[in-house]
Amino acid sequence: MLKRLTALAVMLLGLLLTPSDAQAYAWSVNHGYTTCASCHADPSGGGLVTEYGRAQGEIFIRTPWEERGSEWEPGKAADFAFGAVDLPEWLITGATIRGGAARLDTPSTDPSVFPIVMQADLRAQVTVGKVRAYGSLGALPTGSAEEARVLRNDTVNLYSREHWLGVDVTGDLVVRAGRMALPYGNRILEHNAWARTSTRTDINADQQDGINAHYGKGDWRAEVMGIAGNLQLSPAGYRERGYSGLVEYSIGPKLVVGASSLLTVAELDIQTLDQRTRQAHGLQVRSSPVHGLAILGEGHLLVDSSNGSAPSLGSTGWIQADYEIFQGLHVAAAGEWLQQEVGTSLGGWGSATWFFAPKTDLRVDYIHRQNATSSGRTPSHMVLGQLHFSL
Amino acid sequence: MTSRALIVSTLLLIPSLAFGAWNLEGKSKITFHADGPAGFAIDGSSKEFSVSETPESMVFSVPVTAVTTGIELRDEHMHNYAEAESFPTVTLTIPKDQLTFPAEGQKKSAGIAQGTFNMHGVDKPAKVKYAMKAEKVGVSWVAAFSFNTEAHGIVVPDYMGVTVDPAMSAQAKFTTVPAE
Repeated sequence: MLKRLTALAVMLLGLLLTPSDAQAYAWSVNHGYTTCASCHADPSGGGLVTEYGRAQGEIFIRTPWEERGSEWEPGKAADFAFGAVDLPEWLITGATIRGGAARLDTPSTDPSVFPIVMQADLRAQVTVGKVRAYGSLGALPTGSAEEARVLRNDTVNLYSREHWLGVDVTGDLVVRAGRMALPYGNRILEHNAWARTSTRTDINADQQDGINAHYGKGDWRAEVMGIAGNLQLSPAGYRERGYSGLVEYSIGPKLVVGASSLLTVAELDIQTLDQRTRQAHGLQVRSSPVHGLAILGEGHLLVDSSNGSAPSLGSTGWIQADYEIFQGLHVAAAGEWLQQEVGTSLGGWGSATWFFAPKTDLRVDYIHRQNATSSGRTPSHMVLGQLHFSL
Repeated sequence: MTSRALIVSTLLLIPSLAFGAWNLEGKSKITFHADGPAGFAIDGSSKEFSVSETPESMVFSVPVTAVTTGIELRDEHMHNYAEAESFPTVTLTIPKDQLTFPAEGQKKSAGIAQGTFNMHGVDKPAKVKYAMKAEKVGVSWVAAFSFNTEAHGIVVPDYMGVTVDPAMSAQAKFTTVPAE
């Protein structure tokens, strides 16, 4: 039992210590943004923001302290490096750092506060005609971002979460090849939510290599990716191959419903070290029923099979209510579950985020989980504070 | 922002015909929709909407500055694109003989009316699809039509690389009652 609890604590710490990506604000549906492509280089959101996205950071994300008359524009606060560097039109770039401190409390660990540097990334996209080249590069202490590591020494991991080449075939269709986040579910910032970790579809470190096509037109959006595996993992037997995809429909300006599906096969699963087939199939919704409130929900069926055995069924889900008290200040409550053979784990999140200055936000989370074990549920409590700044 | 898009909305009609003048009753819902690249969309609405009539036509009007999209800067851009100061109102004019009201003993009617949409000071034909429902007092309406802002002489909205498709649509839901 103690061994299991220790493993659980280590796993939770690991989730916290790995970097998290920035700028994936699915609650933007509250502002009428049902899709992400106008603000992000990745058409499904997350990661590098476009010039348009930078402007939105000033327009409706951060708290406005200044008078905004009819002549107001975002100005240099929205520009890269606050306008200190003029970028050519063919280049968009950004740098982001996220750090803070966390306290984890489980039955098997002594509560302690530890510092975290979650993110230190540079990102850029070069566009030549219809061709885009995108890449990110980061550096964190050795042991972090292992799945995305490209180089390391005794103290530092150099990692790249995303790097791809894309072609804007039309204004509605982009085809990409390289390493990128999987299209699945809602692209939420909470990368260690069970809906993300159990499907391996977070925007933190679950990116894979493959070929991806994204189509968005009118009220419809669809994305599918043929997964060739995480080529930064070796040997090749660890790599998952399969597909991941989603389709979404906007029912009006503040309601999006969608379905997602994923199937991967690995000769040697990185967690179980078995031949493993993973499937996830589910539904997601983003809505803003009243001004200021965004509801993000998703539920997924999990199908897992190892070494050709009969598949085991499970499920996971996440529902979050985000309320913007005034522009820039968000409070959110979320519930989640993860049903596996061992039992059903339950979790609750309370979060507050304040975008109080240009390109800067402060976030505090409290996460309580009842983690299923063979002997019942084991509680864990986590408090996480983080400061996020980007250029 | 993005959108600046623009527009308008307005709509439809009413019965006044030989039965005399009508007034709006309750809340009217006037909306417009515009698309951008890769599923990007702008939806706006207006809380102001009025109906007037000439001997031959019904005229539905929306003040340009009353049209909002939920983001102030985008609204500002939109109003600038539409040159709201010079062209403060968009109107939809529908000849009365283009409208079919629920007949005696019928609850509903529907049809397509040929009207004229004026925006940015430019008239363009508008094919208005409408449906009416007889209420205890008055008639409720749902109507929609498409328009193209470029055809009305409005520059295609573009903000920081995001361009709005000038082909847009407007929809209106409202109820009219006989004027006292």
